[in-house]
Amino acid sequence: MVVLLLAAAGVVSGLLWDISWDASFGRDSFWAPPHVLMNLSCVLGWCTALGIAARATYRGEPAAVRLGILRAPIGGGFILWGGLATLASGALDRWWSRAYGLATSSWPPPQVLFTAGVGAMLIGVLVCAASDRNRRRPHARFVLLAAALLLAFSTIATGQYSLPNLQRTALFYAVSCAVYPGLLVAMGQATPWGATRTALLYMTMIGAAIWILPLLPAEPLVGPVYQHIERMIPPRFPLLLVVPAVALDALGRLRPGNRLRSDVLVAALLGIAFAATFIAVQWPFAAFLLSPASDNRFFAGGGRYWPVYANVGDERTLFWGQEESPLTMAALLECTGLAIATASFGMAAGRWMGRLRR
Amino acid sequence: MNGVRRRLVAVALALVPAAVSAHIGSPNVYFTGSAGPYAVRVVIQPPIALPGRAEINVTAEGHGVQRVRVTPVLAGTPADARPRPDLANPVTGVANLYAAELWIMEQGAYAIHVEVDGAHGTGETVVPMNAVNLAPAPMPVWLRYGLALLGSLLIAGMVVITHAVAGEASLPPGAVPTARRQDVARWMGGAAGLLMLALVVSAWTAWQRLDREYRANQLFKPLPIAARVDAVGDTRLLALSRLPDERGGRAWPRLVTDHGKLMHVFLLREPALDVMAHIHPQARGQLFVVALPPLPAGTYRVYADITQEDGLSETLTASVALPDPIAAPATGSSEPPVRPDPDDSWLVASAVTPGAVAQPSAPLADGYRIVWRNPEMVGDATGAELRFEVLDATGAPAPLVPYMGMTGHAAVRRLDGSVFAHLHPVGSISMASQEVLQASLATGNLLPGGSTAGQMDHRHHQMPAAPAANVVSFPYVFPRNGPYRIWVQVKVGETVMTGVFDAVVTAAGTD
Repeated sequence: MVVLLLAAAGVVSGLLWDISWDASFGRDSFWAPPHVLMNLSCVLGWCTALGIAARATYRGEPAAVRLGILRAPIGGGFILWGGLATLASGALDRWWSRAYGLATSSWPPPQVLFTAGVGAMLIGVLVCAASDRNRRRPHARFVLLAAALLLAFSTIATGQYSLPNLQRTALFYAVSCAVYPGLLVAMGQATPWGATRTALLYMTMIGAAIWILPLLPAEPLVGPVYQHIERMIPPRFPLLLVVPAVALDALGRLRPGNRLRSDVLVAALLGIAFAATFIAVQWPFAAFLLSPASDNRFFAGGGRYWPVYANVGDERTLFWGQEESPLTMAALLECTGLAIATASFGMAAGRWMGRLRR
Repeated sequence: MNGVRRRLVAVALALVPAAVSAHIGSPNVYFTGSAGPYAVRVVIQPPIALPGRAEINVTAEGHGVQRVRVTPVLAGTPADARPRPDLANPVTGVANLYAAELWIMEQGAYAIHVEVDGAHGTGETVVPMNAVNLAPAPMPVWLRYGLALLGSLLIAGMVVITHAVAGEASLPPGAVPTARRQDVARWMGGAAGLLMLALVVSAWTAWQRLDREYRANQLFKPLPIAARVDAVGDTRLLALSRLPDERGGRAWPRLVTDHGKLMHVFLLREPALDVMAHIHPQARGQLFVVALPPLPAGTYRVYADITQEDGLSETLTASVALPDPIAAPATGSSEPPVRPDPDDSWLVASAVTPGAVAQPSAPLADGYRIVWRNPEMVGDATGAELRFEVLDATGAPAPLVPYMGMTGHAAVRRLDGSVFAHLHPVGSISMASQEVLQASLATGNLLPGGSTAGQMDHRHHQMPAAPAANVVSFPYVFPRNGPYRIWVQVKVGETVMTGVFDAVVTAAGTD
């Protein structure tokens, strides 16, 4: 379990480092340190899962499930699947980048495969941690760590919608409501104050990247150089998911009577709570992140940090996309509906994780 | 996975719509010249999609060459916005050869700045390169099958994982699922499989749509032009006009002169390729106009080479039907509306015969002949130049004089028209681009004034290491195998002479 968590942490920190590396130097290679960290972490996680599966198959392990010709913990199945998907992504991406460049589509097939693959590996680690915890093994806190890594990856994977400049668009809130409540609600179900603790851990991880990465020197290696830098570019400040997480945890403690009706009701309550609290805090916080007040080492805001190859001028401190995607009443209802749907999925997933023994 | 992770950095890089490339089907850049006291030969393989990586090979010769540095600079980039130079690495086993990867981020004209450090100090030169999106290469077969295999595994894997999630995963270790749970698990597994198949189909459809849109909207398209022939008195006038597209209306972009001409036009009669003319239209309002030499009637392919003031060079194409030459009126001819350019030249030769054995020698005017010294290069993958020698009627070397500032000009065309290139002894580059970009590199700005900026005279250009007076070489590697016709133009005394060669290329390069 420790090795799997190390691999998961390696993938997520490698990804954060890699994005900063790309933004700071403008280019990289297969052997760039963040790539090495990330690829080795993927291989480590995959090989560990394969080893666990081989042992479970050989021994006919009862605390495992049948996956075709293999027996493996169900989390191991997710990790093996995710590894294959990232392998397919890597193979396809090399050709794709040469054929179409990088600016053809917001979700080209290699990126879909990469996101699905790494997401599945991190889900696998979380599921393994939950199963271990349920069998009273001494790693209960690992569940929170695994969930926080998955949450951090979710925010990175949807990063193209969540620039501070875009945090007043309906699209940003719709994506947030469609992605984050699921995991937070599941964690709230699986562990006391699980959503809050997961969100805090996530914010700490991204915060650590913000505070550590700019300590490293960097220099633009591609031209034209639009941003002059001497230190690595930090990621954006994390989303304030801790506030809706507190609300979800508080509401998740409600235990009404009739099962079916209560599930629908609780999911609706959780969804509404997430959408309302998240929009209420992130909307004003976005303005702060674009203001000079956040232009410091702690928040890394003020519109200062952009990739060296990005030709961004004064619009760096403005909100974008509000005309194309305004947060109207209809959009608010859509966001709430998405949050309710995701919350009900999270409730089911949380209950499933709570029962998991294999 | 570099591309994937770069995309995760959400930045919408603005695409420059006007993207161009010189030559047809022959994107590699060849340059032979000097960098200060050092002789250099540069070969650049530009990326086919942007941002992307170009491969550059520099052969640097001279006293005590120590290192070679290369920097790609987008035209007009000020000095403080340029990246630091990259060190080109010596290639093991090949003397004097240095290689590097260039990161090309945006579309447009790039100055590839080459610096050579050696015992005589630092020498530098600029090689122009157009960065444009070209047609995507097909997916290699191994990748096709590898992805199909991985995709099948992923679909099957998702089926068994979902089956397990709904089935035994949440049961205590060792417990056997009930029949009902097994049924549910089967249904869920089946549904997951169908969902995965639906995802694959929709991803495939989206990919096809993206590919169509990319090819339609983001690939390089030369400026569209139309050609027509008007009879004025006893003169046939060829008029070229720009057709409107998303880049602008009928006005031509601002151009700079190359070898003293704003436009170099090659006319090739199709399909026999037996008639070739190298002519130079003049700007007349929104037209480029030239008086045609006495070419026979037929359908001609027009290749018009231009260089824009920002250093972008491109080859525009059109087709035109030529009527028969007009007989001179009995009462004497009037003053032609446009005087023929004194540097215009043409040749009527025999029709190309595909598969015929290439002749290494071709007749020129006045009993002269031109000999292809290395015809074996068409079957030699390491062949890197076309070399010709001109002899007089007695077989003695015939001294060449510059024709528009160069020892020679060559045009190369694949019979099917998929490749056309206009070459000089300095290579495949537009020398006007080189001058514009050299100036841009020095000042950080583009040349003001465009076509009014003055004539560029290439007579002072540094020529490749002193060739024998009757020999002319063109650095070039054929981009595709197949049958080609090559026209070589030289000037002896006051006469421009054109020789024609046919060749079947069997060892093409890697364009």
